[in-house]
Amino acid sequence: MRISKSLALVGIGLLLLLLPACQRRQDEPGVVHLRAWTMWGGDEAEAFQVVVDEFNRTHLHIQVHNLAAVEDTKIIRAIVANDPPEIFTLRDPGYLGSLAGNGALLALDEYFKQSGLKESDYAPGSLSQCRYNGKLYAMIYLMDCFALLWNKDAFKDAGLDPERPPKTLSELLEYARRLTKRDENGRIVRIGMMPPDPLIIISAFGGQFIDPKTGMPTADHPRNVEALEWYKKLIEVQGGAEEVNAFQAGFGQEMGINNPFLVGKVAMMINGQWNPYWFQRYGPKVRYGAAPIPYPDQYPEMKNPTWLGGNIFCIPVNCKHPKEAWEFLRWTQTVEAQVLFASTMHGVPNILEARKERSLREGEPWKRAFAVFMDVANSPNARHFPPTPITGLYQYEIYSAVDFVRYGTKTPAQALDDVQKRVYREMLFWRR
Amino acid sequence: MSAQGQKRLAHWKQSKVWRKRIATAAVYVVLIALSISFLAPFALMVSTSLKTEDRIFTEHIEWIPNPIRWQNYTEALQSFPFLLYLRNTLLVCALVVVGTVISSALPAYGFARLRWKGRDVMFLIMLATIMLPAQVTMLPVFVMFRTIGWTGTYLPLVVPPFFGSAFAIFLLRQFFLTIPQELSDAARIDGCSEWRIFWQIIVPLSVPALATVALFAFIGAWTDFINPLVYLTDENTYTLAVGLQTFVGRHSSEWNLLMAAATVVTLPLMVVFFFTQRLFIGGITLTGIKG
Amino acid sequence: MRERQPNLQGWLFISPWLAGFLLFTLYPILASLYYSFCDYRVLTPPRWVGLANYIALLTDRDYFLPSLWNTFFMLIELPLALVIGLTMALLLNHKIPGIGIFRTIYYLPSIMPVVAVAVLWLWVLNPQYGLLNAVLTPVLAPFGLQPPAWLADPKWSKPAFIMMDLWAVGGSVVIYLASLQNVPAHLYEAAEIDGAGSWHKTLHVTLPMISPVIFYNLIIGVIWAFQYFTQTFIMTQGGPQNSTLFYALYLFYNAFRDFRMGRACAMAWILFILTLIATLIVFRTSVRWVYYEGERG
Repeated sequence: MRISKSLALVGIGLLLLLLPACQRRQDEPGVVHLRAWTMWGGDEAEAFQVVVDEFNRTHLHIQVHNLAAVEDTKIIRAIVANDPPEIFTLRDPGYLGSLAGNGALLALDEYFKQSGLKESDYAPGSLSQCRYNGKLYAMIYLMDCFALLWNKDAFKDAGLDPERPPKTLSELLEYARRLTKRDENGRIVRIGMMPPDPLIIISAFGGQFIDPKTGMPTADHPRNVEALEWYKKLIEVQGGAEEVNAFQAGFGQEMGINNPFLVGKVAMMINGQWNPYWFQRYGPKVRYGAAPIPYPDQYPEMKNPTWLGGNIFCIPVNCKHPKEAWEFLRWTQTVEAQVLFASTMHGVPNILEARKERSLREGEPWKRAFAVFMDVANSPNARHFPPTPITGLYQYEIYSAVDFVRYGTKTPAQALDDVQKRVYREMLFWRR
Repeated sequence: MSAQGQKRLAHWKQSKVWRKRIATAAVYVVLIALSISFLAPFALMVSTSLKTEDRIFTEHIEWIPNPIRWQNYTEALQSFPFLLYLRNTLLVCALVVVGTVISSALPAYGFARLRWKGRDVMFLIMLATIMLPAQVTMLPVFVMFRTIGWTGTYLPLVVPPFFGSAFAIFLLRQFFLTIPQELSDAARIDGCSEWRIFWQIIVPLSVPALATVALFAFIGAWTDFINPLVYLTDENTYTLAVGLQTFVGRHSSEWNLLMAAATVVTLPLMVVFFFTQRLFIGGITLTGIKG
Repeated sequence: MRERQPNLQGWLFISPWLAGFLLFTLYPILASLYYSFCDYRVLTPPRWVGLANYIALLTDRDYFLPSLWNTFFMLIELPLALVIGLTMALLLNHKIPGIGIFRTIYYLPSIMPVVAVAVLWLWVLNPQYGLLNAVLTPVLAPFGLQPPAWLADPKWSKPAFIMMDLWAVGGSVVIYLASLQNVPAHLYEAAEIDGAGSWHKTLHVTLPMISPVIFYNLIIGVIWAFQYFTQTFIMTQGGPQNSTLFYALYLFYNAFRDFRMGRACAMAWILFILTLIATLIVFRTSVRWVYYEGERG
């Protein structure tokens, strides 16, 4: 029978294919293997691998295996599919509330208490990023903060003093207008001010996302509206939404020799503390400066505003090795681990003791700009998005609202009213 | 016929020849113009995949990369474990093909060659399921596989095909109908069981149709995206489609590497296509006519 | 003559499909109906909330209704694909040397995996350095116009997707070609005797004869539009301004990103009802010829 024979052949072939899939790693007894899914890719992944290697070297009974460049949505899919890794980061801390609220995360309060860590060791705005509904659901391992970066050659080209960055937000608008350069078709060749994350602008205006008393959304807060009005102006002075969008869509934001800031296509931007190191690496000839984010003219008390992010590490609720996973998280809070990671990843330590470390401020040229970020992170006007169960949706809503404002399809007040209605309803749906 | 009439006829014939030639030339012009627009993206893909990082963003498109950088392919294949994903994809495809062919041929035989109560109703129901969008059933099936702990494995991808595919059943039924009924009747008189008729008469006569179904199942499994996306959690188990998507997320503006990866993912299917072109078009013909 | 329980045997032969139908079609349809009335957050058991999901969806002018509208917008593609596909099929139906090469060329894009197509077109549609705008810029410049930013512009993102799909129209061209070649030659001869030109022949012989195929393709196209997922998931993730948030993508986000399995199931059921209407239309009009073809063989 020819057919049976060929079927049998196919079957054997399949078995051969399956065999390598069945091979299992030979486990040494007593060693717990943990999967860590982390957000960092490329060079940053290598930096985190150094940290993992150090942990594995000093903790022989636990071996962490890092999977680099994992999107949050992939982690959420794995949680939904009931096969999450033992440790994972959230690139967007906004997912923390949603995950915790849906019962996906292990509460860490007990572990934290027994570990001997103290609240007072922590920089302001660090542990609060890990809490949801009063419970601790994550550990932060270095923080991000934002400042103004400007290209000194572009300033010179536009007839501005290259050593004097804008101090206030209205000054920033004027600078942006003067620094924007177009070709004969009117297309932007150099943008004065890369449109920043609107959340940063809202917080710079002293805006509010959640009423601290009721825990309900306040998207239509008057300061938020003011912030978006400023944002609209920023787009307008640089040629309008379509031009700015076309410019932004033309390239990616990755660090590398084609980074728009390094090739002189962006004169100013509000960006994170990781930039100085990469600038030195990919564009050592580029002359730039770093300064605190300008504040709104009418609110001098908002001086030195900044936006905080953080590398949030979580453990899923049904983790098979919660103790070992916590041991890794606990280790990241030691001063050695903080300094080790800060010097390779170029993040701001979240343990106050580690922020004093001299080696993070002195030495290579990039560390001077990095120090600006470390100081800004201590500002009383440093903010982060409050963890809520609907943060992802909330932020997405604000970004869409900003899109509408950019195109002029809605006024800032209208757009934020719509956001408020929707997130309020969503919050009610959640609380029911 | 008068001389004048003959002349006119000759003239008419000649003009008809010319008209036909002009029409043919016009058809060629349109065909070639269309071909260029269909091929240009492919050319761009291959050309970009060979460029150096600093020659990607140029004011005018450079069709011939200078210098040529073959390392893009080795680099792409390093950060994107092509061979592993290829093996995974082939594994899934093979199981899906085997499952689909076996479990679709049997019902197709039941629908085409046997008379039984309820057949027509069941056939209508089956036809209706072809129209059913996958999204309607996807979520509870997902919950079901999650409950029994199959998520994170290949099982949700390769087990359902063993329960037949409505489309394949339909295709095979149409083919089985064209096999003369007398063959079965003669076998039945000889005392053959339906199983033997199916296995020894119908299946050997239906190799082209079975091959077509296998090919469609193969292509379907090869290009499936959403199922591997939701079911596979470990990146080492990824298929090419999800693997490529992950790669895109990680190298979003390194166009030379992206294009190299896209080329590499496309190539195997092109090879399959060139070897099975006849079967392919034939199979589609079958589908096209029968609906 | 044959007393061999034909009924039982029939059911036996179709049993693989029948089991699959019960397990992977019927049960899921009913289960998703139940879930659609629940607040079901995947990690916790479903909780009955009545019509809340449906009400939330049908009053959602920010995501759900735009996703429905975006999907309907994509239906523009169907007549376009029909006209272009048929024209190409008619062109390819000429028996001239080298026609096989052209057929292969037109067919190639539809062989390419969707993921690879998406990656390639991200690059083709790049507003500053992409192939499309490189062609369009000199064409539009004399009119003082600039090519759009395609995927970055909410007005042009959907047309960009339509264009990309039309590039892969070759798949349906082959189907049309096959049906064209199946039109009996004697009908054309009869028309020629009546003095019909080639335009007339196309209009009065070809089109009516292949109308079932056209109709079937249109209906499948509607269902296809509601399943449009991979391209947007890879290329735009629904943006800008939700302009490419298509039905299947929003359903996926609800289920696999926002922990709203219940609402996703409600979306699935709304989709099911929409499809049911489309399917009924198909059966009302085409059950006759489908059957005729089948029984004749």
